[in-house]
Amino acid sequence: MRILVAEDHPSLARSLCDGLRDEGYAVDITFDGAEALYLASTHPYDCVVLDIMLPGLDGWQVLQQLRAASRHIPVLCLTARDGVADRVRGLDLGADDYLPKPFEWEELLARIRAAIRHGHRQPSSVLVIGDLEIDTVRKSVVRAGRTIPVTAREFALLNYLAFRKGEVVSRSEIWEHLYDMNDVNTSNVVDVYIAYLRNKIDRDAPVKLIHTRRGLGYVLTNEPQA
Amino acid sequence: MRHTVTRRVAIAILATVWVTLVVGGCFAYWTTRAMLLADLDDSLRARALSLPLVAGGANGAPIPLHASDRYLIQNEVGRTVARSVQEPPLAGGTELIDATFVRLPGSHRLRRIALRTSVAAAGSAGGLETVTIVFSGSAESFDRVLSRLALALAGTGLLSGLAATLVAVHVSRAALRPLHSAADVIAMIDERSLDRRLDAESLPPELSPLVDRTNDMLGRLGHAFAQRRQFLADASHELRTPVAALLSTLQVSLRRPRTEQALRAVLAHCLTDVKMLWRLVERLLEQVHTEQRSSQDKVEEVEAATALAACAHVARQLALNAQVEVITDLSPGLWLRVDADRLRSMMLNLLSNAVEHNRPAGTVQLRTEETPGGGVKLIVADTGGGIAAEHLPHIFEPFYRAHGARSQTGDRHLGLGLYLAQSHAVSMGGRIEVASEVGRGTRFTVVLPPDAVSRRQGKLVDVLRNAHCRIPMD
Repeated sequence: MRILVAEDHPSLARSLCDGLRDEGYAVDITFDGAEALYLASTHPYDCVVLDIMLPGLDGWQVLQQLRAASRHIPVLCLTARDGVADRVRGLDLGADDYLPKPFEWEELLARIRAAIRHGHRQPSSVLVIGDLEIDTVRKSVVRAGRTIPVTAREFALLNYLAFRKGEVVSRSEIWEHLYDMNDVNTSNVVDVYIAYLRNKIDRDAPVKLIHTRRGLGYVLTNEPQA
Repeated sequence: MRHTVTRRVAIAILATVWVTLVVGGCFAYWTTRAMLLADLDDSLRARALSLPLVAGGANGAPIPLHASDRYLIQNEVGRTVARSVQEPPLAGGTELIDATFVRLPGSHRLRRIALRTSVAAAGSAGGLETVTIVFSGSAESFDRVLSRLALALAGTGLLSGLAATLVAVHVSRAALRPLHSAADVIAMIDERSLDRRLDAESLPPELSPLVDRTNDMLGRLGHAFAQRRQFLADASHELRTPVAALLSTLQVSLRRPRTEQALRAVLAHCLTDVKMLWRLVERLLEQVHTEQRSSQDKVEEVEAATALAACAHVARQLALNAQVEVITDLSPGLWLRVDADRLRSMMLNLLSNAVEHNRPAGTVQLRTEETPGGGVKLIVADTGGGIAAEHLPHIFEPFYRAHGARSQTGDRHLGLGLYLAQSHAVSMGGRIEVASEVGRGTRFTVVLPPDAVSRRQGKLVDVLRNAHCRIPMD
């Protein structure tokens, strides 16, 4: 999952970035509201963590313009202003959630997970495809009752495919959601990770879940193919 | 003893009404008595003169005597010529009294008059003799009328007095009752409900000035409290982000095992952030102390050139890093009557702002200027980027930053410097003005009134001492 952090306080922005990368997210940072709007409009983030007091364009305006352009990215507002009026305003302008500063990290992570689930229309934090269970909170993968150890990158990939369950996802889409601006797109890193996942999940199982669609991409599904 | 308004009104009304009625009543009584008495005497005289002996054969019907009338007619030598059945009481002694009241036991009091007149003499034909007629009649009806009059007047007076007093007391209380409800309204006002106002309509118009001034005062208090609340809200909100940054950095660091090097880096970051946080807290505390200290200001004679030169010296330390030059143009012999700490704090704020908001190889100019009215201007001008016109009215607000948020290079600007500087200037009776041109620079002018300038003239000794002090000691 890829997150945009828009926060102008340098220490806070840095710690948000580091902390979220530790959790396996791909993270882009911006210190400026206008840049935040530009990035959010041109990249497929799974969530935006938006500080309200930004230079350039303030958070309200970024939010407003995003929604006006029908960008449905989940937005979590982060701010030092914690009046009821501000919360109502943020939510009415289109924010999905609102977290006042200072915050506890566990809460921030849970709210981000929830925002991402909403964005992908997933009600539960445990994704189930056939006999495969993916617990997005505990970062665990269980197939047919057997826990399968996966690396953070593998989990992120599997998580994304599971959110897009049944849909064909192109390599570039996968890339866009799992890597941030600082990473260099090497040509077949996606294929490599798909291979790792297949090895761990599909190799010993009777039913294959990860399928290739030639020329289109990959799909995670347990339904018989047309 | 303090008298209530009601009591004063009651006593005044009562006294006035009664005094008036007593005076008027007495006047009416005595006037009426005189008139009635004259009437009584006239009718007695008429009856006396219509006695047969006296009237002779004169025309006109004789006036009949009353049952209680008595008379006695004596001639010059004292011989009784005629008399009524009952003896009239005699005039005492040889003196004749014209009219008087006589009290006899067993009957109502009489009015006795004595007349001297000429009648036809008995025995001699056509001769006249002078006789004295002592005639008395009952004064009963006279007395009755007058006693009723007295009673009526006294009764009316008493009742009027009481009635007027009661009405006055009632009116006075009713007029003052709205004051009680106004007092209740005021009793309920505390710092959370300063938007209540007294209703001038419900109070007598005479109290309008009081009500208006009270409402004005409530307005001023409300404004002051609102400003304070706003400041506290802004301050607490300003503290949250640095605290959030610290909290977040530490939490992230502790979530996983880290190398010692990584931990050291985190600790160094946190140290910087804590120092900044402390500076913010210090500024906030300074503001609180500033407000409290106003009454504890130590106003003393301060030589402007020396004090400002010291501030410029501190500013030069900052300027070294920024490659900015601090130029001073301070006239010696200018003395100020201000709190020295406030002056220093205010000028350091302005100077450090000027140094930080400058461009490389720029300058900061510090100079003093005397104004025609006897005041003085302390001017700090920089060659920085300037401040846009739309921000200028707001820069003295606490925590206002022209960019709307913190700068990317780290927050050395807490947004309180100008606010505090302005409050120092105001405490000296002055103000700070700002002029700026984007791209050219900004000029802050501290305008101090004549009251802040000392009448002390600069002496040669001071000039010399001043010159000596201008050499910065490092």
